[in-house]
Amino acid sequence: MRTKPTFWDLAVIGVVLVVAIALIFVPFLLPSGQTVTVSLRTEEGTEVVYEGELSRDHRFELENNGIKLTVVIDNGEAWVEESGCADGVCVNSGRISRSGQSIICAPAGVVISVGGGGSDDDILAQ
Amino acid sequence: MTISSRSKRFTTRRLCADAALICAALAFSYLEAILPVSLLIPLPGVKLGLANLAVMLAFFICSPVDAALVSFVRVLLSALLFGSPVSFVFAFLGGALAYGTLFISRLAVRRGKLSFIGASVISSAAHGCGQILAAAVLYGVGATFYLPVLLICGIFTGAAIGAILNVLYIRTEKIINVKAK
Amino acid sequence: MLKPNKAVALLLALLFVLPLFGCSMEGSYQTRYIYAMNTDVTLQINAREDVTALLDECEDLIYSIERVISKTLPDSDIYRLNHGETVDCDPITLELLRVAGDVRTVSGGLFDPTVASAVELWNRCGKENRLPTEDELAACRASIGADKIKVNGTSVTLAVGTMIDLGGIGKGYAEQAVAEHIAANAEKYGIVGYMLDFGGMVGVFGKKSDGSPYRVGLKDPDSENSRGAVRLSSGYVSVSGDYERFVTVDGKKYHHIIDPRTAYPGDNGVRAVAVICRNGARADALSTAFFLMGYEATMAVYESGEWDFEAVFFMSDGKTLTTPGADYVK
Repeated sequence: MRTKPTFWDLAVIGVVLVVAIALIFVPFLLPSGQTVTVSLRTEEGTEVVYEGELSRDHRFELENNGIKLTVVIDNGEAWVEESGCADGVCVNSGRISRSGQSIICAPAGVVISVGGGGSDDDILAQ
Repeated sequence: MTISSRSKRFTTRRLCADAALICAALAFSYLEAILPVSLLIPLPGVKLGLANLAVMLAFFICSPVDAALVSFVRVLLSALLFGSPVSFVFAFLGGALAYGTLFISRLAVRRGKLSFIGASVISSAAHGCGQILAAAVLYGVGATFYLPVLLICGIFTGAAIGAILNVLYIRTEKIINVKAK
Repeated sequence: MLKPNKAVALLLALLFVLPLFGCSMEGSYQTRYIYAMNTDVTLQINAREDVTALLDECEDLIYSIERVISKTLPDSDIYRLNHGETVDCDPITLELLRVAGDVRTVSGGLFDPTVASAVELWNRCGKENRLPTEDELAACRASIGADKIKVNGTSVTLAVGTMIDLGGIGKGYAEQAVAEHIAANAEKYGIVGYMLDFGGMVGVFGKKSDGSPYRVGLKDPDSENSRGAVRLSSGYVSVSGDYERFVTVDGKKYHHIIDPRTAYPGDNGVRAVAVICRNGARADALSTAFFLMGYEATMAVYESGEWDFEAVFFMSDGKTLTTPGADYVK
């Protein structure tokens, strides 16, 4: 058994780091999003509490699992402004605006996700 | 659970070694739960992974079967004692993937290509992937945004655990080596 | 352990510096979302400066047009006309009546703003869950026609029982007014491009950040998504479809694009038609006209070359037909 650091230990660290950095940039490659969906994970399943255009500014509070959080949609971005959860990951997740991105507050069971409407269209005539 | 492995029988010595390692793993889990590490790095899923010390010792000193036993019982017990069904799913998937990579790491460590630092970093990266997998199942694919956070933290915690193992391995090998008749 | 640590530190440093590049390559759209003219209106401007003030002006402009041509606001020209008054009309109303008259002529009378009474009748029947009686339809037909609007200079009177609705072409008109106001201020605010949406009546102008033409999706009549798209760099796209507004009687849908000859919802084998045009009000009126005229008659107008437009038809049999100049993509 090897118990002294080797070059390959460093190589492993390097590879993991490169993968992690590459993953950080994945969101930048995603197409910009069109819609925001906010859903709650409850014992009965998933409940969608808000669905709207990303361009439509909106701000609201919601409560699940006894945790309150404030969701803001402004200027084409969505984020959690305030949360009563202990870890604060949802607040620290920052702002999302690209299709496929989401913010998860696991303790509150809240998922905020941005969808793309699934097309390359800039605008829809109807 | 029936145990059948290359190490033919479940000797008293081996049983004791496993029990001691499970205890150590559980104690580490508890330590991490109460230690103010979460104040330093306030991110869920990010922890030192001290319990992994015990799992890796079991894997490298004893056998993969002992390591599986230590890992699974540790995950089960800590979920029962300080966790919830959800935290069990996270810990189980993370633990299972981390465990899986040890098979590959063992080849490299035995040949002297890799020290425990590399093995531990790989293992903690896999642990992060497992947790994200669990999150993706529970909350959707958007959970993957968190993977880089876990991977980068995993480099530091994994390397630290690996460094401890590098020192610890030789000393504990003599104490708990079940193969030494 | 020292060596790896140094390397890790270097890589980490790189990690924090990298995100500084590659950002802000794309100008972002500044968006205003309002409810006006009985529909959702979205104004999106891609500009280097803050365009809040400009968006405020656009919003006021829309409301000022709405006050003149709204069917429901009591002081509007249209409301007063529909309630039997002789009105000294605003230039906006007169302009819209002129456009409506032009499109009525080219459509052989199929586009007619005086079908408003028939739309009202169908709405009422929808609420009562019944079809209109032959007598009611005959009364409507009698109130429809070019001769029911009497224009004398700026003074306008409707025949008794006749109602008009300029809401359809009014959206296109308001959109163009907004577009022209933005264009006049383009240099001041460093405007690169802008997109306007008046309840599905769309206008796109200028350039996208990457310089490519806009893709305007055309809604699939049977779903909420687009069936295809037209590419254009500047102009208006108006769609008239049987799915837009309708009433349901005994489970059957009756849409709101009324054929003035029958006072019944028009059916010429068209599910929806999109008209691409450089004039907002015309685009709006033409899409209604072409829906009622059908593909063949529309092509005759197209080939005459008198009207500058392109069109995309989604037909009842599932076919998609386009005019030769339409840049339609799936």
